[in-house]
Amino acid sequence: MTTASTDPHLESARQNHTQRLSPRQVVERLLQDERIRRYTFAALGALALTALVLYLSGGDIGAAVVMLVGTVSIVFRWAAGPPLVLLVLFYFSVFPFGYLQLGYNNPLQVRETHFRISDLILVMSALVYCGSAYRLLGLVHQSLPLENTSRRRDEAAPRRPSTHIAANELTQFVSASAAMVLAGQVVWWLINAFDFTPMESGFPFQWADQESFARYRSGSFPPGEFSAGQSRFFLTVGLLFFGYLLYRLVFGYWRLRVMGPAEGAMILANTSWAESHRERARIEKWRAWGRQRVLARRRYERSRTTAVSDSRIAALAVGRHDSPHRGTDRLDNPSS
Amino acid sequence: MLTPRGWWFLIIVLLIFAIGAFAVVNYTTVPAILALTLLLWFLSQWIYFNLAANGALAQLQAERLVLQGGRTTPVLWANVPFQVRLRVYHQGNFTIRYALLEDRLPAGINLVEGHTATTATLPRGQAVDIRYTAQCPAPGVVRFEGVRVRVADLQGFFYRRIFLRDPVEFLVLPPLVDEEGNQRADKRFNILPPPGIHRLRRPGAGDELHDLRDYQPGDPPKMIAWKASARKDKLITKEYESDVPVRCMLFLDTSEGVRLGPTGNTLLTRLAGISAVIAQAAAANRDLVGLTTFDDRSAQVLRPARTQTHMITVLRTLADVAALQPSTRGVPLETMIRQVYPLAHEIYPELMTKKVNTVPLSRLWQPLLDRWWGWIVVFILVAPPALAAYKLANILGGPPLPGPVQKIYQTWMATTFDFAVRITPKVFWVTRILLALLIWMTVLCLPSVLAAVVWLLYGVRGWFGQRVAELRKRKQLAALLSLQDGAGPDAIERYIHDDTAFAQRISDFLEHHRHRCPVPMYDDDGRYRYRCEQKAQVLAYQLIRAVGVARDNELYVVLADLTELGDDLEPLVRACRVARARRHHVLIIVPWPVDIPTPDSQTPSPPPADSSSRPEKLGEEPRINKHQQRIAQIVQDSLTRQYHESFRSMRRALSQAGASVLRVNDGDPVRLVLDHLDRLRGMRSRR
Repeated sequence: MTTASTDPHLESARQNHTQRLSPRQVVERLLQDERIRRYTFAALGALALTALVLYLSGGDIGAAVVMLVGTVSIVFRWAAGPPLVLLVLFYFSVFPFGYLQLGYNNPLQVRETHFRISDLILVMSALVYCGSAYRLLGLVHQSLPLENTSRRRDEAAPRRPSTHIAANELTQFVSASAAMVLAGQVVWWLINAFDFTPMESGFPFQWADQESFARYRSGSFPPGEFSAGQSRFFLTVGLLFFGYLLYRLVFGYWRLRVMGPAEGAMILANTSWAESHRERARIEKWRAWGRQRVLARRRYERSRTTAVSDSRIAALAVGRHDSPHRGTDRLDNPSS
Repeated sequence: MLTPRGWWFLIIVLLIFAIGAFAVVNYTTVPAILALTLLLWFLSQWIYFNLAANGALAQLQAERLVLQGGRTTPVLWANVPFQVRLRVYHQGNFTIRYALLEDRLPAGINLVEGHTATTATLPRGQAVDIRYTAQCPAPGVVRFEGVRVRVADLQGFFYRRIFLRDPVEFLVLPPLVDEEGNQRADKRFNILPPPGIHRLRRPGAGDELHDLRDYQPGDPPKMIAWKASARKDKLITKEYESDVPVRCMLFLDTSEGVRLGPTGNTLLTRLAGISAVIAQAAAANRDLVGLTTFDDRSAQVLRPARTQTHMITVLRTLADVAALQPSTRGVPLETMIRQVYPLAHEIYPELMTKKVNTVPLSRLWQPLLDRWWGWIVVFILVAPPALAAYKLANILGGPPLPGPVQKIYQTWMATTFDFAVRITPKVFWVTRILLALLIWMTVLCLPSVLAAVVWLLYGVRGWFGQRVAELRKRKQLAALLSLQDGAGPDAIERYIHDDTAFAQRISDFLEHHRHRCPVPMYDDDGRYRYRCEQKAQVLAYQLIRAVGVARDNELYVVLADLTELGDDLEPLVRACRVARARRHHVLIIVPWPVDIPTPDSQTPSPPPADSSSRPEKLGEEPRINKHQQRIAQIVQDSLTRQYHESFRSMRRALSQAGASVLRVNDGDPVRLVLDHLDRLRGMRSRR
């Protein structure tokens, strides 16, 4: 077994991961720390590429807005920055000129837009930007969520030290992003390549006839046939549903396998309690009632004893001659 | 577990995909492809995080080494730095890309050097070390619970927290000292003279001749050195060296009154430290030292001895008692839950999650029949349909209901029927009959409907409000505690219902984890809750018992908080008289609270600040604070005066009985004890 790191410089850098940075320090780290600077340039480069694609497709305002929002969110450490950039990108993709007017309605748009270079570049740059921006947030702002729902005054948000950035981390990220872009195109093509055929025997999805335009027409379809959009919807829902089912099956079972004995015992105890808590609650209420009854009886006995003693003392004090047996009888026999 | 950052990203991407793939796909496919790609990337990160979490995080292990003086040690010494080396590793097949590891530092430990936390990337077989140096300022027990591990992906979308439980306790012994009471870090018993031989020779009842001196009246004749007397022509007396060790018995108060305070800074800790110094200094002089620890119920006695094993036993006992905590009797249950719930969440995170330890909605439903009027609601709910069903079953004739019920029933039926007929609109007769019947049945069952609504509203109330959070916390804690007890689901419901059992179990849990819970000092009537008056009786009994088994003149050092005992001090006064009558010495060392000035250095309380000097922008609130401060000052002064008076009374009573009383912060008590031992040594009767 080897030790991860023994470099004192690395250690000291690791230990300072909870100090809150000032805006000036953030900018300095973004631009001067060599390891962080790679991500900064990657994010800004991806942002510039996104803006360029938008600009070439006619969305010059969109390009400027995306560039502005993306840069500002990095500098000011906005955790909402990447989703905001995505929303802006989405808006200017649908409305390139900025105002709410849709373009040409082309039902065959889906057929003609697989593996377009501009789409590949745009998606790739957006993906690199999102990943880089989130990683930069972890490096200069906060890498782990806070433990409590509301932040305590003395609670420091930990940051990922830049010393943790491996030399090939960015390369791996960009390579994975490229693979994801290609995978996205393939999945999009697959989603649109099937027809939903529930009336047919066997598997309810069949390869669509790519030569036919019938599935792209508007209007009603005969029973058992669905348009391209409807098939896409059913296929997407099915993929999400069964994908999630598979995920739960695999990782749920794995989680049960690696579960500790205490956790397993807790699940059993919790399940057993959940099935029988009504009966147990009823029993416990009776027990509580019994305890209260015993306490009340004791209190009553004590008060009676005290009252009898006080009355005897008072009687002796005033010189009243009372029968000595009377008090004894009363003490010994509460029913009297 | 998805972080807020992950949730937001997922929601935005799904939204863009939904709109892009199904709403605007005929205009542009860019949003759909973009969102789909981002979704795939997100899912790939999710899958990898789960792979790492299940494949590596579950196999994480921690090894701890605690070194003092360069060697691993089963016990620690107070005021001596020790090093903690923690190694975390796993043998899983995946790499944990980013983890924050933090060793949970026990309470009462001062960090001297290094950090308890570090961030790391954990590949298979590669370990991460956490090293730091710490120091225990006081004797007691130190409990290392384990390592807190927080794992996230590089983007911060996913997060998981576990706790590597590796509980280990170390006894922190009081620091070693020499015969003068000065601290030193190494043991040097072997350079000491044999028993009975002192470095500083002094006259006593030994065998070796120490000196010759002039005869003094009262010297026994057998001590006269006749040859020397003849030579000097006056009586000369022989002096022998003292070789009889003196026995010193320590009585340490461990009652709850001295356990109050933060970890490592209680009166008991200070008393235990002084006891340790006295014991070691006396042992260094080859005197016998015993220890009696007592509280208001019982006492534990270690008979005087001189061996190193005995000294280690004494130090262990002192460390054990120094770690004692005050009981949580009288602490409100809510306060205890507030203390124990975060602790349980921190140490047992996987057992406190909602996945494995949850409260179903049916448990939160508020049962109506717990209230007496609930039965009335149930009666109203059931009675109309039951009556209607009964009469329908006997529609062709049957026994009437009992007298008054039959009358109520007839009146109710007639009134409702009359009401239904009156409000039915005048339409076609068939419709009118049907409508009237419908209205009649509705009115007949209206009380049942209203009762059902009341039942529903009452039950649903249990799902909202403060009660839900309290019940959920209590259930989760009850499940954890019952799991630790091995009591099963029976104990869960018992802990939920039985406040006494639950409070006791929580108290045990806190004590087990060495977590101190703030306790109220005064009861509802304003009386001090930790006076522990019974301890005077226990102490007196132990003192008389020690006198009974004493062989020679002994020194009894009582380290106890006796200031506020008042009249309850009488048994101890009598015991001191008995001890003095047998020529023993009694020295009483009383701890002094830090926040109360000593009688010697008492300074007048500072006057409250002038309100005109305060900035006006603070408004009314500072005036309230000033008022409160003044009241607090008055109360504090009164308490101080009362405490001083109690101390004076106690000292007067015990001094009259022949005991010496001093405060723990008044000079050097260790030096004073050693002086008393020397004095005792000189008082030995000669042969």
